[in-house]
Formats: sequence, C-alpha cells, structure tokens
Amino acid sequence: MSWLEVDGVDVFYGRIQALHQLSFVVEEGEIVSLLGNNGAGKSTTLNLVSRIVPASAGRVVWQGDDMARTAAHDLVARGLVQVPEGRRIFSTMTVEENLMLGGYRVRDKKAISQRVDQVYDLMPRLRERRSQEGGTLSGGEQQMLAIGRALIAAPKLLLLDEPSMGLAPLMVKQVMDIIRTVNQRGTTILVVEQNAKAALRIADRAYVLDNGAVTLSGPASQLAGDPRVVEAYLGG
Amino acid sequence: MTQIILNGLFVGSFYALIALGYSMVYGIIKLLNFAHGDIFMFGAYIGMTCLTVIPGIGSLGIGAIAIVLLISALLTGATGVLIETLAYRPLRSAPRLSVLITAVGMSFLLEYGVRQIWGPDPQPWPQAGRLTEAANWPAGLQWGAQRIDILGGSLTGAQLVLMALAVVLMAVLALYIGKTREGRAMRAIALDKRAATLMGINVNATISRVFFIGSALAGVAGVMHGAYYSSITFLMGFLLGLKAFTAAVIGGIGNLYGAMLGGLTLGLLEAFGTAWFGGEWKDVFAFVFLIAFLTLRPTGILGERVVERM
Amino acid sequence: MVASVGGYCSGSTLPTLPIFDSAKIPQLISVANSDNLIKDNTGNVWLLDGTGEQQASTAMKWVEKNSFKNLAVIDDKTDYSANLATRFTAKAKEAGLTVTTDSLTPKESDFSAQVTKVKSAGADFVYFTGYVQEAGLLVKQLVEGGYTGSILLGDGSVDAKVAEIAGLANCKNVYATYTKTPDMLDDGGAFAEKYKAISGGTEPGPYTIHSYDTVKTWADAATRAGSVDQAAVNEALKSTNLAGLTGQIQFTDDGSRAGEGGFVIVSNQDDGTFKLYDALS
Repeated sequence: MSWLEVDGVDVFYGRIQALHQLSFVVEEGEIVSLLGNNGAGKSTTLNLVSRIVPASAGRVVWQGDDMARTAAHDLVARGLVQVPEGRRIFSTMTVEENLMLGGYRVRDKKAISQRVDQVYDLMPRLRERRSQEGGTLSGGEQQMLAIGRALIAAPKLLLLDEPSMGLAPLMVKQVMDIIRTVNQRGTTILVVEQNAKAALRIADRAYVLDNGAVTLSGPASQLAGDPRVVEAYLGG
Repeated sequence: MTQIILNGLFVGSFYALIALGYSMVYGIIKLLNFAHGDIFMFGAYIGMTCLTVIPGIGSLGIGAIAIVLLISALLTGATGVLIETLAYRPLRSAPRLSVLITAVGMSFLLEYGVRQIWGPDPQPWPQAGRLTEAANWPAGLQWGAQRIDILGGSLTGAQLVLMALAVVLMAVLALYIGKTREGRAMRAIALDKRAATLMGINVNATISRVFFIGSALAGVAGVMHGAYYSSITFLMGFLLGLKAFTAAVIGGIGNLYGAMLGGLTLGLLEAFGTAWFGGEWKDVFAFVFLIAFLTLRPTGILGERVVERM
Repeated sequence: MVASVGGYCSGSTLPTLPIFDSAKIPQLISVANSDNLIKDNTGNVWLLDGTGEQQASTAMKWVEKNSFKNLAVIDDKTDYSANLATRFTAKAKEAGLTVTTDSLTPKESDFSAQVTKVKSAGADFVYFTGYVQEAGLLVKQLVEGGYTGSILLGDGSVDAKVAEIAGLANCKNVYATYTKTPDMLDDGGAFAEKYKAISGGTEPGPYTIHSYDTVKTWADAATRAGSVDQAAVNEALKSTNLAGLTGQIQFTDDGSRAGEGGFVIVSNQDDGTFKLYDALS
C-alpha cells in the first residue's frame, strides 16, 4: 500500500465526467507532479484529495485511511493542506493575518508564532510586507504568501495547484526553489502544473493527465526526455 | 440642537445593534435576512415573558432586566441558529431569490406566531422591568430614572445606560471579529469560502456562530426597547428591521463598522429630518436616504473594499 | 340588508359610505365621528357619536377654563385624528392663542422629536388626538422628557391601557375629551347589571351605550315608519326625538347628532381608568 493512493476514481460535475478511473500514487517524502493541459482534470484531482469534490467511484487512501469519511475542513488537522489555484489569499487581510489563518487548526499558540517566523525566514519579502493587505502584493508575493500560509499548519502532505501560473520566469524559479526546500525539510509534495518544464525540474516522479486519466508516467528525468512529452508540453 | 443630536444618537444605538446582525449575515453568506427585525421583536417578547413568569424576579429591580437580557440573548441566538439550519442552509446553492423569499417567509412565521401566542394587542412591559421606573433603581443609582442635563439637552439616566451598553457590546464585537481566531475565520469566510475551508475552518459551524451572535444582539436590543419604551407589539420588528437594513446599507453592508456608523447616522438623519420637516416625515426621510445611497453609493459610507490582483 | 349599525374608526368607516349610499341603506354609525363622514351625506348617514367639531369645542372650553396660553396639538395623520386636530387648532387660533402643531406616525415608538418640539415651543398644554398605543407612549415620553404642562387626549385614546403603558405616576396631568360611559349613567348601575346578565359576565365597554343607543334609534325609526323599508326608515330618522343613554337623541339636517355631542372631561389620574372629572356644562 502506498502512502497516498488514488485508485480508479471517477468524478462527475453534473453530467460531465472530469476524471475517468484515475489512479496514481505518492510515496512519503517524494515530490510528485501531475502535468497536463487545461481541462485535463488536474485541479479536480487536487480537490478530490482535499475532499472538496466527491468521487462517484474508486477510493482515495492516505496513510492507510480511506478518506471518504473525513470532512474537508478536518484535513488540515490531519496534516493535509492545499495551496489552491489562483492563490486565494484573503485580500483585505494583512500578510500576518493570512498566515495566522493558516494556523487555524493549530492549538499551540507558540507553535504558530514560531512557524510564522520560520516562514518569514524562508521568504523574507513577506516579513517586509507583514502589515500590508494581501491584495496589494504582487502575483509572486501572493504565491509565496499562499505557500507560507499552508506551512503554518506543518503539513505532512502539501498539495499545490499551478503555483507558477501568471508568474514571470524568475519568480517561477524562486517559487519552485521554495517548494524544493519545503520538501527537503520533510513535507511530501503533490504539485499540479501546466508548466511542465518547471515542474519536472523539481519533481521525483510525474504523471501526465489527459481527459481525466493518466496517459504517461515515470521518473521526472525520463519524462523530460520523452518525445511525446517534449512535443506536447515542453514547447517542442 | 443638542437635544436633537442626543435623540438621534439614542435611537441610532438601537438601529446600530440590529444593523450589526444584518451586516454580519450579509457579509458571510450574502443573504439579506429579512426575518432579523422579527428576531428583535421576538427577543422583546421573550424578555416580557421572563419578567412575568419567573417567580420573584420583580424584586430585583434593574438586576432583573440584566438577567432577562441574558436569557433573551441566549434564546434569540438559538432561534437564529435554528432558522439558519432549517430554512437557509438547505438553500445555500439555490438562486439568491429563493433564499430571500424564504427569509420573508420566516419573517411572517415569527410575526404571526407571536401574534397567535400573545395576541395582536400591544403589550405593556411589566412594571418591574421598566428602566424609567424609579422604584427599580437601587438607592445609590437613582439617577437612572432621572433626567440628566448634557450640554443644553437632556436624557434620562436609563437612556445613557442603554447607549453605554450598546457601545460596550459593539466594542466587544469589534474586538472579537478583529482579534480572535474565530473572528478571523468569519472574515475569511466572507472573503473566500473555499479558501476558508482549505484552512480547516468549519464553514457551517462558523456561519451558525454568526447567526447566533447577530440574533443575540437583536434580542438584547429587543429587551432594551421594551424596558425603555414600555410597550411591545408583534409588528414592531417590521419597521425597525427595515430601518436597520437601511442603516446597514448607509454604513456599508457587510462591514461591521459600517453597521455601527450607519445606525448612528440614520438616527441622526431622522432626528434632524423630523425637526425640520415635521414628525410625520420620519420614515419618508429615512427611506429617501436608503434609495439615495442605493442609487448613488450602494457600497455605503465605508464601502465594500475589494482589492484583487491576479 | 335593511340597515347598517356600527362603525368605530372613522378611517375604516369612510370607505364603506359609498357602498351603503348606493343602496340608500340607512347607516347608523355608533362611534366613528369624523365630520368627513357626513360631508357628502345624501340622507342615509346618521352619526350617533358627537363629531370632531363638537369634541373640539369641548376641548376649547377646557382650555379657556384653565387659561392655557401656549398650545401644542399633535395628531397621527389618520382621518379621525387629523379632523379633530384641525378643528381644534382653528378654534384656538381664532381665540388668539399660540398653537404649535406636529404629527406622529402610528406604530412607531420613539416620539422624542415631538417631545423636543413641544418643549422648545414652551407649551403648557398638549392635545393629542390619536389612539391608545401612541397616547401611552407619548405621555410617557413627554413627562419623562421633562414636560410639566397639561395633557389632553382625544376620545380615541380613552382606555386603561394608556396608564399601563405610560405608568400611572406619569398621568398626574392627563385628561381626555370623552362622551358619557356606562359608569356615568345616573341609573345606579342598572344598565350594567342587565348587560352583564346577557353578556355572560362581561362588563359593558366604553362604547357599549353608544351601540345600544344606535340600535334603539333604528328600532324607534322603524316603528314610527311602520316598516323596515330603507327609504321609509331614513325619512323617519330625520324626526327622531328619543331619550337615549347617551342623552337626548336628535339629528341635525346634515345627519350629525344635535346638541353638544355630550362630551365631558375625564381623567385617569386616580387609578389608570378614565373617570368623569369635569362635566363642563
């Protein structure tokens, strides 16, 4: 049994089937990437794992637990945190308040403030802007804030939905470096990306999604050299 | 002139307390809870019943009012939660209009339910619970039932006490929303429900909490109203609810400070309006402002600020 | 339908007039007393209660008797109330007295604006012509607001509830213009006893004798006409001269009650219920 196992999952939005018998695994400590174009089902997959959308068939099992009985808002307490697509930071709240919200399920106040400091150490730009409203930050800073917010909960499994979206190449590199650092410190990462190049640079393994099902999979280095991947996703 | 301002601030305190509930609920689930004014009325009736039914409460003077305030707050809070759970929650993903109509339906339910139980006639507030009754104030605090001169105008001690209570409640609420974990969670839900869930916030439970607080405040206002004006009727929530809604819009709906500001502003506007145009124009004046704000500045004085960057 | 007997509130009675008028049904109105009710009378409307005009006269007599100089008149904009207020104000102005007028909205609770207006005008007399609920609230807020003058209420506010709402302690200077009540009858309670026997124990209400007189008036006219035919009864009503509980019943040409309307001054200072204070005539 793998650490996180998604097994034969179907997801429907009304009559439209977004995921078709989707199956993949994530082992503890890895960085796994899900690649694919728009509409491939990448966000749906993350929302499935986060229990925001239900599966009509198949199971999601994490650390041996079938997730079907857990409510979405209880996942954070168990160590499963998502950094959603589009950042979704709380725009009229300050950077600091956003981070504090990441610690909503953390009981120990001291732990929260320690982790906030750690996040500021990892991403100093956020410390500079700690009293600024989240909505006034640049795209890249908002992405860092979104990740930082997730880190306050000390996640064991961190899901990231298209962290590079809308960012300039230099910013993308910074964000990816941060993700790698987070992984090195002990968090398992499942990252969904359209930017295959950036994702494959940090991932251990990757899956390619098309039409809600896996079409290719393998170690990142292998996929990076695969001509089908190169043609479709790496800009030829 | 001072008297007009004092009158306006006093009435405005009631508007503010009720407007808070309107604003909080709108802020978090974008629903205009038209039953909210009737929660205020229900709180008054609960208060009156407590004062008549609880044995020995008459001898406590204003202490009785304090106890009754607490009981009414808890019961109206619970009523608000019940209404949300049974009537609004099942319609969370329904078109906005459906929920609005349901709210109107709840309003009728409360109004005519109360009418059925207590009758259509106005009920005098029990003597033992009246704030302007000298006999209810203990020896050292007799100023409560007397007029106090302030800068050219005057108010009864009771009025000052009520206004102080309103200020305290609003301050506590502001602290709660601004500084506590749960308050932050409420603000988060108002901004982005999905992101709030991803933080681990139990959105349903938090929404219930919002309804509890908003309704409890309305219940307190209801008891205060009965204790001061000495007469309650089953339709008293209708007009006051509309005024509170107006106040919330004027101040900026969804905004806590807006509700407080809007309430006081509306009270002052009405006081000046009636002084200039005559008593019968009070409501016309108030609703002209509602229309003016909805047309010219729908986000209200403090506005709904939304800063987004993609 | 041979006749209509009833009508308490002028505002709701007025719209029924055209309906009864179209069939020339005799409409005997027991209590409602706005002068607007007989404004367009074509010969089938009969007011048993004193009109606003007559009530206003009585109020004026009271003002003169007490030498009030600075008057405030507050109405609630409903037909009965506005009618009474307008007529009283006209008489007061004719007499050269200072009059401040204002209105309040029924169903509201806060009348601090009206109280402030009364106080800044320096009034020593307030006449409120509205109904019970607002009367109670207004009296309370006037007195608690520091008003020390005299308060007169119209007959629409005569009810023990006023003192209940305002608080008996605040009613020391409260009076009202009112037509006779069962307890003011000289028959030593005989009517009240007979009424209770039939009603199963309920005391006669403030307007019971008006209703009684109204039905008796119709019965008297029908007897004299020898039939219940509408036109015949209307004709017979013109010449009514009947001794009723509310006094001698006669009608003027326009359908209103002849005479002073039988208004007196009552007060609730004693125990909250309104009792005869000064018969004035």
